[in-house]
Amino acid sequence: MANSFFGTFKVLHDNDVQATRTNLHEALPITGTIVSGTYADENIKNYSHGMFQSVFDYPYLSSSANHIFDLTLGVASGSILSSSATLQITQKQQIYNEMALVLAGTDQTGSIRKFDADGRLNDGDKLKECYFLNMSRLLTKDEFDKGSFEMTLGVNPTGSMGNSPSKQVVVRDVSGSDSYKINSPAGEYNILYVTSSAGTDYSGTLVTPGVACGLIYYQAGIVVLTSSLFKVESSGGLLSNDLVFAGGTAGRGLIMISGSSYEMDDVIVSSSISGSSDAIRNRIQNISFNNTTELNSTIYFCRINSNDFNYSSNPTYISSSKMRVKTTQTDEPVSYVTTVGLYSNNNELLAVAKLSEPLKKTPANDYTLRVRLDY
Amino acid sequence: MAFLDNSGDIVLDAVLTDTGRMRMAAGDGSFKIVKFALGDDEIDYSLYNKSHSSGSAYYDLNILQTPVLEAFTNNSSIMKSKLVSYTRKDLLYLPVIKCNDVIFPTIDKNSGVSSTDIPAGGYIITSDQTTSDPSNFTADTALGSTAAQDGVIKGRMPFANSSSPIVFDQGLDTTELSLQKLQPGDPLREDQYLVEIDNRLCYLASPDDPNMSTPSSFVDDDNIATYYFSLNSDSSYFAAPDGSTRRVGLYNTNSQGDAGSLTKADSTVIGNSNGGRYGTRLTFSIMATENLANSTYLFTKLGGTTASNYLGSGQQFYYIDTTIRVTGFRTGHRVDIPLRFIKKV
Repeated sequence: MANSFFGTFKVLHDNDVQATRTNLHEALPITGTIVSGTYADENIKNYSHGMFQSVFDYPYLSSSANHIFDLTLGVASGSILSSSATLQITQKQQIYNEMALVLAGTDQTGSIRKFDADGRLNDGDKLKECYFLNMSRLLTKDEFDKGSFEMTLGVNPTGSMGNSPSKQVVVRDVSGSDSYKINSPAGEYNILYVTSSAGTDYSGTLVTPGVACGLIYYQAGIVVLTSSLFKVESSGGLLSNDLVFAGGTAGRGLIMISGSSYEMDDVIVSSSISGSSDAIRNRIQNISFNNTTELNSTIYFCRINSNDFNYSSNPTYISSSKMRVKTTQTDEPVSYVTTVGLYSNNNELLAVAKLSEPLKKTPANDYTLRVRLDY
Repeated sequence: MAFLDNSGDIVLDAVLTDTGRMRMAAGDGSFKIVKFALGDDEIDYSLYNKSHSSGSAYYDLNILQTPVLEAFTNNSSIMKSKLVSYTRKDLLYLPVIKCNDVIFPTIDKNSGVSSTDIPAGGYIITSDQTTSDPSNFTADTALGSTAAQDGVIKGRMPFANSSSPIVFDQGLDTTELSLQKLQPGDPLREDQYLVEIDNRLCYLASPDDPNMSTPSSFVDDDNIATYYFSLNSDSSYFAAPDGSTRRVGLYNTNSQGDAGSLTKADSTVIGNSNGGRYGTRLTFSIMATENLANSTYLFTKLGGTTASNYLGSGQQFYYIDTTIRVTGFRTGHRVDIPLRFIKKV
């Protein structure tokens, strides 16, 4: 009799516990009206230090607001726009150096590398005036899902953006699903390309469709955009001169701030970081990407054999010690499972799992309940 | 907690408990899951209708429709009743644990105390020396006698004495079975107990010497201390012949266990003189903590003050109501006993 007794606990053996890893992806669409318009910029928070601005999904004074990303501008020390005449040049250089130090690292002399347009660190073009979109961890979770990032930007020449500007470009992580780069101290990254190939809205906007326009750092959750994305070819930018000719003066660039004559370089030189960020933010039509959550799970296989757990210590199970579910000794015992408790050796309840409905247990059946704990 | 959606497949909603998270955060290896248990807290087995007119398929119809709550993360709020494994399928009776209010009557059985003063079936515990000292009260009141008083536990030395330990009897509480004892090795005989109390308020002590505290197994994040007693290793907490604590009466005394020669165990609450199966008897003392003795903080935070003539003493007291929980480790049955800690204002 004593040997056949199991009691209220059942020991989990080594083969009852398995560790697994799963990547979960969520699709995250961020519409441009949230970024610029819906809340009359009450969801945009600018700080007294002026180093960046934060975008929320609701007026940020509300407790319901969630931080979705930060936007800022950096200028490298070797940029032709880096001079004492540039407004907030110290802060713009500090931002660039901070981001470059974290994302691009340092060279063999200990100097901070500049962002490289093609990912080959020792040669090629450098991105010296960059906008940074630092996505909130709430959105990106562990990382961007490679190949999923897409951002639509309005490139109407006059600075009048509206909800549906007639001229748009799309920045995509087109090669992320096939290949990516690993020579960054901040993890994996890839090159972003701007395209104009998706419909008539995009026609005639780019000098060469499919050119590199920035970088995306997957684990860091940061997007780097070159300011050239908002310049026309005659100013050394990626946009076609024809784009401007129809709505402005031939040879000039995009007007970045409505009601002003500021083109991109003017914005970098003469606007504050928050003002520069506003100029870009107001051109964002859509951002969409999938995030990735890396789930490390332990699965506990709770094996319940036919002779296990057929009785209950529930106070309603008995009346004067006599079982309610049996009339005679030959009746089969029965119990109903609603909960699985996972215990330490000290009998501490460390985790608990609930079934969505009672599970009938009799000597005529057995079960294996898979309890998965995610970390 | 909301109910779980039970309209589709059976799913498992798994979460770490607060204690689990605490153990994980400790990073000392104490988070290690080694066993599992099954619970049925939501099930009301009185709904099992063995005389349903439509047949046996309908006996448990109401039970199977019971909505199940989402998981609580508080470890002490869930898994209150566990499923039990017995290889025998012919069991018709299952054991219970009952507070023995015959050996040490509870407050409601003390004729000198109003039953409205604390919940029925429980005890009052004096929390400091002043409240424990009988000389501070009228001699004919529950707190004023130098002798042990029914329903009142002197929670502080030197007034605490070994004549008032709490006693729990275990066995088959039925008169439909003849008077016998549950033999060692019988799966219905409990030989290990878990006792849970609020560690801020009290601690357990030896039934022989209230000055000798009992080490707890662990204290969880909610300050609930768990004590583990085993008949094999803690025999002094069990009644004779399973232990040596004679003052709580002999229990399960007949070594042969034959019904013919067995007499009713001393003052048991299991069965009656004609029937019942006696298992084991657990006993221990309860002592108030230093915090309760020397501070009113917990009394004002967790309790209140009594009427001005509480227990007929002409005095007003601070009080805290709590419970002590005793669970059979193997048989799973559990009992909660209300306690009231008092301290003279």
